[in-house]
Amino acid sequence: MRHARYLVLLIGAMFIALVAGSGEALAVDRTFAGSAQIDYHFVPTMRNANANVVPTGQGSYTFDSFTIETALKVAVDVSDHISANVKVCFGCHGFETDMAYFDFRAVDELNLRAGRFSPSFGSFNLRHDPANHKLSDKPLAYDMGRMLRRVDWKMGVLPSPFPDNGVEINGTHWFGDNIQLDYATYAVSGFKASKDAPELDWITSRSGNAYYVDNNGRPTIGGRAALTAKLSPVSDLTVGGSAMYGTYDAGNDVWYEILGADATLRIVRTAIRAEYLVRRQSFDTTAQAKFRYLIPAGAQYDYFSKHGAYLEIEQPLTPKFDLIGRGDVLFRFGNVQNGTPLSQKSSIARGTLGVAYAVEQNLRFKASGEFWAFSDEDSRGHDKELTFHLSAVATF
Amino acid sequence: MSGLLLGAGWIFGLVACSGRPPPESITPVSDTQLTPELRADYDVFAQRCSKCHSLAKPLNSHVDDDQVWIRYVAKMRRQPASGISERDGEAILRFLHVLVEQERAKNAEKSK
Repeated sequence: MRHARYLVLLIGAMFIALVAGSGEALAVDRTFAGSAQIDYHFVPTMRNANANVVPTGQGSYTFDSFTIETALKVAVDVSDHISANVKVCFGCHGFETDMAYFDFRAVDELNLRAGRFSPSFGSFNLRHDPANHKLSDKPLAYDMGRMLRRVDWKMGVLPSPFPDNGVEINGTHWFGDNIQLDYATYAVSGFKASKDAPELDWITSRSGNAYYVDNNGRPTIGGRAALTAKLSPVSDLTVGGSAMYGTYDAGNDVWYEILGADATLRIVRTAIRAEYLVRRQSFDTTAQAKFRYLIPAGAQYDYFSKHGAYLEIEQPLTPKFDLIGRGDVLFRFGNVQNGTPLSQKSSIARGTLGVAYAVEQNLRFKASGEFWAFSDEDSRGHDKELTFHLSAVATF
Repeated sequence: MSGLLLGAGWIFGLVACSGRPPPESITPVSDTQLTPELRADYDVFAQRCSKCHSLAKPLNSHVDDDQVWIRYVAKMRRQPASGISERDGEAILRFLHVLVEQERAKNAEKSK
């Protein structure tokens, strides 16, 4: 009740600021933009690699095929203070509404966002569109399903983008000409799963079958703060921190929390990016027989943690040619359910070297090679894989 | 330890190689138009606007109205970690004005 009162007060303050600051009416501006990426992921070290076929045993799901990511976005500036964005994308699981929200900006430091959007978390989320990053795939921590052994690992730490319904208050403030501070705080429906699930249920979490209605009455809350410092006219450094907390089952008995830290250094056109994410998640252990490792007597809940990190360097070599190197890791610590090849301490390390070539301003080819090393052997006794991506991405 | 040194050397080499201004060939503005002042504005545009998206977006937008850019650059300034200060915004708008003039000239040519 008290929170509702604060929200009403905040919206009232924003309305007053809007009225006080309103100037000349603005003609409606519409921006239409889009992108399409087609990617072939070749896995030469695995025969008949196919996302939809389980070879003998477990843990061999992968993608040895084309995947597509397309997106269309319309941004409408209704007035100096109100704008709306709608973005639909078509990817591995069909059409999705990536964005459908409006922004009500009282001042630069105070903006109310409401609708369906990806809550502010980390730095990669801002560049999640394949047109805005120069490797074909995402860092493991943000992977949405094109990773090897995706069924065993059940994605990374926080898939990006992950649109959700809710509200966000965000803003930016410049201190002089060299320091920019951004913040965001939000309440969204949150991820979903049953309380004894081995992971968050990503399909249910994004499914429209339940009319996008939350499975519990408690929103997930979170926030982000980032500081950007201009070190020189051609360099800047951004450091940020993000956090998210919520319950995922219908009874609000089990919870997850995700923390993140990120830093981006740009020197002329060289970009060095680093991010670390960790998700801790509790789960119900009543059905002890489901778990591989012993549950302490009397313990009704346990938790696991999943850590992901990457370091990426992007270097233009010529006006049209970029070289990109990335190292990323994913760790999982904690009990697992029977039948998975994962163990109490599992990890993936991946090294990627790629190039991006701009054929024209709006068309780019990307090629990369990836070396994967797993802590656990799959059913063939393999713990290493080599894969290649070749993709084309166009924007308008 | 040697791997760490090799990695640090690689990073240092890359950063050292990047100490030149953004390449000219990606701007649609001809060399004769690219005065030293405009060159400086273009550098700010290329540096700041390529942080989150490719430069193709603004360069191929065919905008022929300065007001559109004024509103759009203001919107981009507000993006998290944009790094576009008020002064940068002015420099970016000066460069985009040249594109606006080019677009207007093209439109006038078409309508003849």
